[in-house]
Amino acid sequence: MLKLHEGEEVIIAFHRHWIVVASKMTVVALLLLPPLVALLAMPAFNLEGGLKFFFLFLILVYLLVITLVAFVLWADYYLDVWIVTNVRIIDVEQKGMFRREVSEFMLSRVQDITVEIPSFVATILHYGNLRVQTAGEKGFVARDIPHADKVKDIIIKEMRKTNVGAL
Amino acid sequence: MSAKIFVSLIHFSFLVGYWVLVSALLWHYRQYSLPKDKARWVIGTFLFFAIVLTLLSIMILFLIDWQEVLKMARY
Repeated sequence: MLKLHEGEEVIIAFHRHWIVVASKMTVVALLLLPPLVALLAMPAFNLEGGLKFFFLFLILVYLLVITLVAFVLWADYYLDVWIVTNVRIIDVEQKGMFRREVSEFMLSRVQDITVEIPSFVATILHYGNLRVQTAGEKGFVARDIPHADKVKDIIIKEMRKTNVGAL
Repeated sequence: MSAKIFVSLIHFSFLVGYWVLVSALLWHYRQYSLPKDKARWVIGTFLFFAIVLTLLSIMILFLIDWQEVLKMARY
């Protein structure tokens, strides 16, 4: 779970756009086709009891693996998250099953925010990339985030509050 | 009979590995998901399918006549 500092509150937390996970799940759905075809074609081969169960067993093991692959892909998508609080921006990136990268940037150090809508599909589905430049640090890019322009406005609003508070 | 024991050992080893990976993913999810998370149903759906498929595979494993399968494999 995310640990907040004293007086810190989460303004917005967002994941990548659903299209990112949907495109991966389409591949998983395609991988489900061979066992479905095998199940439908099985009566045509007139298999004896033992062999029928053997093929059913192979299909079940295949489905178990595909289920796990689907869950790994979903977790990889879902555990990538950006959190904007009234103090900082936290960028959490899940890389595969066991690798994780967590970076955070203070709002007071943010210098420049750029929104990029990379394609026609992104325009229609309202998602884009958000580049945040920070003073003296590397900055970060949040890719394929939904309503990138609105997120940018929220960050700018919070930045202003932080900077006014500091004056 | 020995074929059945051998295949059962392989399958149960596979299932142990499988559930270790599932537990690792669930641990990651519990550890790193945000409070008031709305995606619990995805975890529920995945666990439902994983449990059903595991139980079905174990049931069917014991219904297979391995001597017949081995005989077919030899031809």
